[in-house]
Order: sequence, then structure tokens, then C-alpha cells
Amino acid sequence: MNREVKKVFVLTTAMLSFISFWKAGSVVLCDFASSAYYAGGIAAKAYGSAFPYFILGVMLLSGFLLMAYIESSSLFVRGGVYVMVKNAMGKTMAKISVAMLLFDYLLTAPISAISAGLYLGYLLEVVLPHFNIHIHFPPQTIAVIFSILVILYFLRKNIKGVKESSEDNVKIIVFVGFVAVLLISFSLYTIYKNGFKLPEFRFSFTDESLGVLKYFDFIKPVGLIAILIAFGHSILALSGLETLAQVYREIEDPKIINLKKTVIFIFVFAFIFTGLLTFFSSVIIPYDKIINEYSENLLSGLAMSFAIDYKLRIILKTLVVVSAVLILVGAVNTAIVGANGILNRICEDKVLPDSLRKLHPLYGTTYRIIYVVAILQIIIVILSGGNIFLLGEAYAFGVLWSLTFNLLSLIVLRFKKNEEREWKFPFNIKVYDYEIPLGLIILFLFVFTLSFINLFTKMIATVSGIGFTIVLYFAFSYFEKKQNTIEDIHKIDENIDEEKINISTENEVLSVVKNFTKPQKILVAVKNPNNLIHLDAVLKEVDDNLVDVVVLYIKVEKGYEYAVNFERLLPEEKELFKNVISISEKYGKTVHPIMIFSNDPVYSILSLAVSGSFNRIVMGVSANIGSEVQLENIAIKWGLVRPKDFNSTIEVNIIWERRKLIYQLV
Amino acid sequence: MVLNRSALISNIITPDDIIIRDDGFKNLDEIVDFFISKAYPLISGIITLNELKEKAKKQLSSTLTVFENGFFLFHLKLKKLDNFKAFIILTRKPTHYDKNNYDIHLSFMLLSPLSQNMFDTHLKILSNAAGIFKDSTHLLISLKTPLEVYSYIISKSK
Repeated sequence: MNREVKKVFVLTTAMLSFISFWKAGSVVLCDFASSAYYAGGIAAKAYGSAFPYFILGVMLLSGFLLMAYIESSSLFVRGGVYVMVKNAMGKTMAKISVAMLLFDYLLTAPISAISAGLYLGYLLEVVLPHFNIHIHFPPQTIAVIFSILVILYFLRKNIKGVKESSEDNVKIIVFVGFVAVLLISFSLYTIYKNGFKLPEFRFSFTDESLGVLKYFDFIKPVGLIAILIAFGHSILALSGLETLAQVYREIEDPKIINLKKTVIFIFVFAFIFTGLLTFFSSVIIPYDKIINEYSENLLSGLAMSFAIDYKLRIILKTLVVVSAVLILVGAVNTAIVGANGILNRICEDKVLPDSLRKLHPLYGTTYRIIYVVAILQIIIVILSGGNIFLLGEAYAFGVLWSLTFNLLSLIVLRFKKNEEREWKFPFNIKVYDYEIPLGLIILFLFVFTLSFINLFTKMIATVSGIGFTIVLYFAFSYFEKKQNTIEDIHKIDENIDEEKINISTENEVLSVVKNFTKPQKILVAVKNPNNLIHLDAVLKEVDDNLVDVVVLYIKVEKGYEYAVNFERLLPEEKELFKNVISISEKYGKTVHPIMIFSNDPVYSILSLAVSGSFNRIVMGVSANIGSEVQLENIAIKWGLVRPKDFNSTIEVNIIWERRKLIYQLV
Repeated sequence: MVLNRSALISNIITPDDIIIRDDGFKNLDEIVDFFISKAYPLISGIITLNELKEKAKKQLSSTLTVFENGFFLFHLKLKKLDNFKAFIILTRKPTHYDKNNYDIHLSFMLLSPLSQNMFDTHLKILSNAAGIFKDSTHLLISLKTPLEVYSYIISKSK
């Protein structure tokens, strides 16, 4: 009886690599912190010298919103606005919210790229004369050309499937942080040298910034109204928070603790970088100069206003521009990736035709979706003509309304899904048997008020945003009806993508096993996608640094017919691997899924355990034969598999609901 | 590594419990009936013959361990049994097992106490039995006497 395991299929997917909170925070900051380069200037032009206080205020608000994202992430590992709203308020509202979010993503790339282009343009204006080049290139023209090139570059990169690397994000944030330290240091030096005066808390709303409110004499932009209007014009500094929901699944164990660290990191960085630097800009640069010269490149203006030698100012300005280009260009890619992800998810949900998700024949990416997104972004760039204020006007709609829906969903889910959460937004009051999420309600009311006021003060945003949402909603409804939507086959609280899973083959088990180098190895046998309690139990307790967890699926085949790609696996097998990945993401711990063909699963499990020097085998209980008979089979097969010179112990665990059987193979 | 002594096959079997025959049986049911006829006198105080046959029938229909090398492993757990007992039947002519098309020459029957404390030992005995007999059917059917078979088992248990 010599049945060696010959062929092993190793499933690999990028989803099974997890990142530290530094990297996760850097990924988010590459989107969120990029608004530091344009939010202040846009706000200053919209409502006057009080802008730095409101940018600081928005950064403080971001802290509360980040806390809300912690709670929503604890509910859904693969969360985000669509999942949250769908579970709280149903598919119709989810479609509306995702249309708004798409609007946000479609504008993020143009505004980021245009901003980077403007920084570059203004730098060239100063630097080129030093090289005796006296051709004047209007910065807005440079911005448009630059933006189109950047979007085309990332279009190509995403078609080819080159994934954004979190390592690159860390490098960008480190460099941006370095520039921030320089800017803060020289700001403090300049303030020390020249003295300072706090910016005036004064509003000077333009007709554009009042929107339709200017037609209502009884609504005066003073007091609380003015504050809310000003807040609404500053809210574009919040763009990028949704990235946290997307990146949560990649955070390593312990997930919620690391998520909290990520949030603190993001908040502190953004508060200092966006909030403080904008404030220093308002203190150091005279307000008129901000409006007339530096509204499109505020941080460059800050560098040029320091009380230092001119050449040093140029060097600093160059560093600012390099940091601007790096982080803003990164935000362009995040927007394309984000839009691609959202559209994939709603195609999966049969809200858009699945043909849109057709894979590229060579690269296996959803190239049609990427093309649609990139083309729309280029059209927006061209229509804007490099006018960042126009884009800024339109921008806040998607940001605010998707946040509003997200918060409302969180409140609804407190009642609808009132199970224990790993973390809850604070300030909850118990009234009889109910817990009222007062903190969330206050936050929601504030954000909703801003969203509501913005409908009247940001007419471009309102018209384009509502128009876009309506068009997209009807498109969704049309295609959904056309496809005779079937019931969502996924679990109601998880929406798992059919993301790319690669299968590679190894001709010997040993060549697979040699990759597992941690001190301990656990082999988890899986079969039933609805019975993974044992895998959950293992991942809950295991130390990812010390233990390799190999998840083994044995495909029982009499004829040894090998399926060579994921597409040929049965639906329940795909479901099994998706659920394995989902549990792995839940705990942020890496697993190595492998698949073997065999007509004797127990024999193969034991054989692999011996060849791979595994310390433990974990199985779920067999519904057909029960745990005792299962162990008897294992014991008998162990007699067949056990090498004569075996001088170790393998522990066998059979785990099911609240029970665990342990047996030592010696 | 020295095997758990209480799980050694040599400790739960004697040469008298090893039966060598020339003729095979008609089917597995006959092998089990033969086992029962050997075992019942030793356990008649704790179970009736009908009850034993019923248990055996149930075990045969639920789990079956027949190996392609001609080895049949059969086990029963009984309440009130306070120790392990085993029997071996060797037939020079095989008993044909239709389901898998195997020819059985060697049958091992284990009676185990139905006790949680003894379950671990029960498993180890099964494991040891499978290990000892996995490659040895043809060798064993060439042996002449139960004592020779018993000596082989002892040598394998070390």
C-alpha cells in the first residue's frame, strides 16, 4: 500500500498577505493626506480668511469619522459603503450610495492630478528662467496635459494588473513626512523671526460659494449658518477615508487593535500635515497673496514665504512639488483602483452586466471597467480645463453623501444587527432595554446638515452629482432587471469578490512544504464551505509569526483528472476557498491553501503531515460518521502511513461547535 | 520509539486466538460469524449472543476496513468489557470481497471496552494492527502454526 502524494496544487492570492498598521495607514494617507495640497487654497477662495480654522476643524471631524470606520470594519471585514448600506437599508439605497461614491472616485483622480500638475506648472514658472528658458506655459495647460498622461499611465498599469504596492505607499508617506517636518520647522523659524498674527476669523463668501442661498435674503451667511457653509466648503479635505474600509481586510492580526493604531496614525499625520500646515500657511502668507498667487499651490507658497535665503526656498519648493506629485499621483491610482473595485462588486451583484467584467485575455484584469473609469476621468480633466476650483466645487458631493449614508447605515445596523461588536463608537446611552447610539446620531446629524447645506451652496456639485447619481441609478436598475437578477448567493453579511486566485502545481509535496519555514506547522483539512469552525478556531489562537497554517482541500477523484484553473472547480469548491480566504482576512493571519487529488483523503492528509513535518492536524467533525469513527479511521490509516523511523508526535484535533477531541499520533 | 505497552497486539492476543485455515469463507458475514463464535464464550457473561450478532451486523453495515493487500480489520466496542481482546484468522484460500474486488486472507477482530478512558488505547491498537499487518499478508499465510504468527507479531511490536 504505497500511495504517495504526487501532485499538489498551491493556491496563491494577494489577498492572503497581510500588512502592518504602518503600511495600512500609508495606503490610506496616500489618498487622504493628498488633499493638503489643494483643500486650503480652495477653501480660502470660497469663504475667506477663516479657512485654516475650518480645515483644522475638518481634520478633527475626520477623527470621529475614522472611529465610525473602526466600528463598520468590525462588522464586515470586506466592508465599505456598498456593503454597509445594502445590509442596513437594502439594495436600492446601496445603489444610490455607490453611485455617489463613484462620483467621488471619478473626481478624485482629476482633482489630484490637476493639483499635482499645477504644482509642477508653477514650479516650472520659477525654475525655467534660471535655465534661460523663457517660454511661458500656463500652469493650467500643464496641469491638463500632465493629468491626462498620469491617468493614461495608470490605465495601462491597471490593465496589466500591476498592483499598488503598500511598500511604495510607505516610501511616499515617509518622504512626504520628511517634507512636512521641513515645512513645520521652517514655519516655526519664520514665525519666530517675523512674529505672527492669528488669521482673522472672518467670512467673505463669494456668490459662487453661496450658491442659491444668495437668492434668499432671510438666510444670512452669519453665525452658525456661516460656520456650516464654511465647513461644507472645507469638506473636500476628507476625501480618501473610504480607502480605510477597503484596506481593512489586509491588516494583519490582531485586526481591530491594528486598525485602531492605523486610525491613530492616519489622524495624527493628517491633522499635522493637512491641518497644521494649512494653518501655518495662513499665518505666514498674507491672505491676499494666498488668493492672488498661491490658491492653487498653497504649500509651495508656504515654502516661498519662509524667512530664509531665496535659493533655499526654491529647493524647498522643489521638494514640496516632488512630494505633491508623488502623493497626488498615488491618489489618482487609488481612485482608479477604488472605482474598479466598486464596479466589480456591483457587477457581481448583478446590478451591472457581467460582460463589463470580462477579463483581459492576457492579463486577466477587468479591463473594460478600467477603460470606462479612466475615460470618464480624462473627460472630466478636459472639461475642467485645469480649473481646480471648478473641480473643488463638484468634489464634496460624493464625499459627503457617501459618508452620510455610511453613518446612517451604522446607526440602523446597531438595531438591526445588535450582536456584540469588537469595537463601538462611543457615547451610547441605555434606555430600558435599548442602547441608543447617541454619539453616532450626533455625528450623523452634523454630517447630514453639511451635506444638506452643500446642496444649496455648491451648485455644480449638486447638479452634476445628483444628475450622475440619477443616471447611474437608472442604469443599474435597467441592467439589473434585464439580467433577471437572482438572489445574492453570498452570505448576507459578507460580499466576497471572485478575485483572482492562482493555481500552481508542484510535482512533489516536499517542494511545496519547503516554503513553510516557521517553527511550527499546522495542517487544517477543509471540505465543507459551511463547516470551517475548526479553521476559525485555529486562526483565532495561532501566532502568525511562529506557525505556518496550511489549509488542505482534498478533491476526491477516482480518475485523477486534474483541473488546471480555478474556473473549472465546482461552485462549492470555489465557495470553500472564498470562505477560507474570508476567515483568513477576518483574523489577518496568513494561510497557505493547497489542493490534492486523492481517492483516500485521510491517507493523504496523514501522508502530507509526515512529509511536511507538521506538528498538528486539525479537522472538522464528519457529519456522516461522527468524531469517534473519524478518529478510528485516522488511527487505522496512521498505522499504514507511519514510517518505521518516525520519532515524533503529531497531534490530531477534531473541532466542532464547543467541542474538541485530541489524539496523539506517535 | 517504543509503542505504548497496553496497545501492543502481543499483549491482547495469545497463540490460541490465532486461527489458521486452508479454506476461505463465503463472505465477510461468515468471517464475522466465525469471530463471534470464538469470542462469545469469553464474554457470554456481559452480552447475549443475539445482542453480539446485532452489534456486529450494525458495525459491518456502517464502517468497514478492508485493505487491498487482503487484510480485514473489524472492531467492536462493548459495555462491561473490562479489557481488550483480539482474534486473528488466516486463510490460505481467500475470501472474496465483491465491493472492492479484494481477496481477504487475514482478518483481525478487536473487542474493546466501551469507555472514554480506554478509547485512546483502542485507537492505538487499531493503529498498531494496521501497521503490523499492512504489508505482511503474504508472509503470514506462508507460516505454518499460530505460534509462528504470534512470534511475528511480537517481533513487529518492538
